[in-house]
Amino acid sequence: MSRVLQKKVCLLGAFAVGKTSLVSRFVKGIFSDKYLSTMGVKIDRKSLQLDDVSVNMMLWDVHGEESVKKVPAAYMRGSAAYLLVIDGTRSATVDAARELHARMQVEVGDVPFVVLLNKVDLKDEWELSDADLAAIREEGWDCFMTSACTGENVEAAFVHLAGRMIS
Amino acid sequence: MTTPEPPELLLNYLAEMQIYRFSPAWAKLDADCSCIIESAGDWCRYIDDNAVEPGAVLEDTFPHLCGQSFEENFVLPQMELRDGYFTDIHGFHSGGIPWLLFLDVTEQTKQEQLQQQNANELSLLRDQQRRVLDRYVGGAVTERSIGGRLTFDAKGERRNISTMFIDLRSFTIFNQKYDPQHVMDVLNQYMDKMLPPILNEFGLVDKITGDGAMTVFGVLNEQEDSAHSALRAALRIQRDISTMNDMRCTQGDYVMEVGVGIGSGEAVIGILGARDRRAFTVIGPHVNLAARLEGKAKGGEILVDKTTFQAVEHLIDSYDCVDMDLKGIGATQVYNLRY
Repeated sequence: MSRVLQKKVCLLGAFAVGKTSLVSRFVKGIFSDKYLSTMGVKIDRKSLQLDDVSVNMMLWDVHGEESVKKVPAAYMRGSAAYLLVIDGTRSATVDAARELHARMQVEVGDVPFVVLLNKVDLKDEWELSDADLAAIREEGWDCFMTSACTGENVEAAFVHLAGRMIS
Repeated sequence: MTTPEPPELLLNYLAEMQIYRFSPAWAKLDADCSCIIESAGDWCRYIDDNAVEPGAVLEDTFPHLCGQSFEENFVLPQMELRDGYFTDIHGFHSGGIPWLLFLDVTEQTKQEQLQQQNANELSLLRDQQRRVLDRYVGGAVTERSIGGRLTFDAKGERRNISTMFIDLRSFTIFNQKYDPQHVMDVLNQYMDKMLPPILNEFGLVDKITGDGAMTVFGVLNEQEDSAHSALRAALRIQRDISTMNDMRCTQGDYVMEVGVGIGSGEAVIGILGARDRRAFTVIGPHVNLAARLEGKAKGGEILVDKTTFQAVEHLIDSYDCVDMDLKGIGATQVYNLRY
């Protein structure tokens, strides 16, 4: 008999790193290159069948972290897992991801997470150097090079995270 | 003096105004916050499919609240539960009873969103400009430019600088022989080897002329001897191009060498142009001289004027000194540096 799990999963990162586009690609399979700033939290859901477990992911697409507009702790609490999104064309977004990761550790503790190095389709414009990438990987984080535009690795990253939630 | 309490009529009026503004919907929960006991309000504004009825399971009715703890009061602001509609969700205890209160904040949030959108787009634009500047003139110029520390006025400023011209030899033949897209791709490969050494030495790429560039040293880093910086950049360019050409040769690709000319001396640097179109400019006799030297340099050669040579003599192993008749300048001592 199939087990059903309902889990809250947050997407976190600096503004304009592509969180909404990643959710849109994962849930609806579509992409728009028009940038629309997310306010508060946009809720979406997607079910994944992993062996005999059906995982209902409640996706909390949280507004971008900014110095003047921090992500409220209330959004973070109750998360079963999270995705940290970094924009490879803006190296400053790594710092925002690190800060959000540290805050998630305080609010929800040691829950599964993955790091998405997004906009891999714009590799010519990447600011992240090989040294930056090596430093991120040295932290032992699960990293995926993703593109919401082409869909590269998007499904794989979410499926990997869902797998870690049920393991 | 205390403010007198408003009359009850006024209080009711204000309450009605707020209630109308927020279209509240609320639910009273059981003690362990798993079921709805009572509910009322404009729920169809907030959720699509499920009825919020007594006896309904909380997580089925509000799946987005899965994982939410009700131990403490909470506020989840600006939750976009339906496309384009924003809700503040309040969870609180009153008289020991847990409640959920949904308030419609769509109008306020959309106003805020406009400002947020503008601020973010401005920030992205700034980032983009920084990246473009970074790519074309290097990080040093970008930092100084964005920080407002790279400013010249129309009057100009006198400084001792070195000017270096670089140019790809045999480009004209290459350009005529191949498809323009291929020419562009190969040019970019060469530029990738020629420009970074200049930027690494705090050189300013003044102009890119398709198959070459005019660069200036001593503007961004006044402490460093400009001739030393120019020489180091020139040597690095020649070595990197030579390595790349070896690889291209083995692959049977078209090969181009680089001619370099360096001149040093006092120049006026400043901004030239009319109100709507201005450009950074360097004016001085050695600038023209450097251009002429580059014109005379064969592929792989670095030709410098006497001033530059005297500044870098101790850094080079060998050289040839020859007299050249340079157009518009006349007979000039020119130093061909060996490396």
